Amino acid sequence: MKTFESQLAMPLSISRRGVLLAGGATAVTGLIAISGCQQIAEIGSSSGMLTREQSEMVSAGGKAVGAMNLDKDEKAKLAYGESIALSVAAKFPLDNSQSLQKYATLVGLTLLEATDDPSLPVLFGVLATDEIVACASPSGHIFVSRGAIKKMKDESELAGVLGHELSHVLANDGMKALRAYKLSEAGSQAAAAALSEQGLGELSQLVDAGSDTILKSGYDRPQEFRADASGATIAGRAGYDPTGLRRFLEQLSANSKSDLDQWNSTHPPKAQRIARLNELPAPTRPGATLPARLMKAIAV
Amino acid sequence: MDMELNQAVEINLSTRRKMFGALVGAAIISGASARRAKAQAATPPATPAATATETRFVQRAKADIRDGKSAAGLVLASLKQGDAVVVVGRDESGWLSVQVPGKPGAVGFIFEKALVQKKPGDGTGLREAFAGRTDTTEVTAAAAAKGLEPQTIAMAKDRDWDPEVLTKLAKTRNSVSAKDLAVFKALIK
Repeated sequence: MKTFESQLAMPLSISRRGVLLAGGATAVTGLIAISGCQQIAEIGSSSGMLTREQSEMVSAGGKAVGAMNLDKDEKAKLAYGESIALSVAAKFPLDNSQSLQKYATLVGLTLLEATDDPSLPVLFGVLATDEIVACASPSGHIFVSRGAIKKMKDESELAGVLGHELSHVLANDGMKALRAYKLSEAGSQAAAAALSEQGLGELSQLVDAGSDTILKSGYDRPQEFRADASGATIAGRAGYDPTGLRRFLEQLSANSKSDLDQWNSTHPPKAQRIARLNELPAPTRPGATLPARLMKAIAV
Repeated sequence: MDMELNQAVEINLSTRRKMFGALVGAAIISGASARRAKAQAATPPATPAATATETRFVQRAKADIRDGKSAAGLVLASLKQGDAVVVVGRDESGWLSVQVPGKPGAVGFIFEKALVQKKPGDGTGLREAFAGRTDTTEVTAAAAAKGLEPQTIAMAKDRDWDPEVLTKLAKTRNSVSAKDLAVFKALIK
């Protein structure tokens, strides 16, 4: 039987899917693949979307980029992640309430201390929008919107959401998505040239792709399901009721068609997420929920 | 047979002498420890129990040395990837006691996962994407002032983004003291 602790230690399951986006030259650029380039090349070739020559380019490009060690370049990773965080804040400004910012930070740091890496340089911010937004950049900038917090019934729900995002940072999901993007992009010299003609440098391309991942397309499903389980586990370990995330999703699923819910486009269907969270072992002791403290924080 | 017996007796006597010697030695060491402990009790402990010092290197782009074993607390020094850190003590918590660079005698805390034994290389890959964008004095100075990477400043300038946003988040986190966090957590248990 899996325990909460073993759920957290589960190895990351890498999807073997490749997602093909149609549309001429951009179809090659948009090959957001989570598996190796060889597989992309095979898919592209067999589907008729790539010529044999293009297919060979994808395969060769993938091998070249695969040799790069993106994750080891910490300064570059930080700059990439900071730029993505700035792109989020450019779309949704920070909330003006300093007490709410500090409250979210306190919840976040409480969770951080419950992980096995409490010195991780993560920062927490509340966005001033009624949309339901929660996302994390690869640099460890974690955002949740005032609109999302307003929908929550207690602090354990906020802990579950921040725990989910913290899990993405701990698992380095942002850099894994970048690697997938690089694998696809490197194989498409034609698409890269087209982008270059538009005046977009490689950094802009990468940041746009990363920003789209966390605000529009989301990570792949195994990563999201794992972040759910891990987030609930971290919340439970910190002393919160680990069912907070599940209860928040149930609350949102009542209004699942809402355009204001960014998680609709970036995450798997809520019913599936709730079902997966229900499979987690029941907590051995009741955790804290603290509804009054959340209500007080959001009232400011 | 007798010879073997004599040898056994000699070995036994020898062992006893060694044991006696060890007991006397232990008593002396124990006495010295007691005196040392008494002397230490008379003066306030300056640093946590130190082991032999070890040098470690920061593996992340950023890592903070704080004044306590907590994710919150006063930042005594901000380090960058590759910076050397002298470890002077460790315990089971995973927090290491380290010398604070530039502050002789001062000791702070950093979690062991932020450090590695070998100095990390510069890496490859993304850095190439940023080449040529950050080599201006203006960008470098702005990055240092805001605690951000020069590439981030260059990107913000390109896109007309406000880099101050991230500085605000860092200020908020650094405004949380270890005591604040402890009080906040007290209600959760």
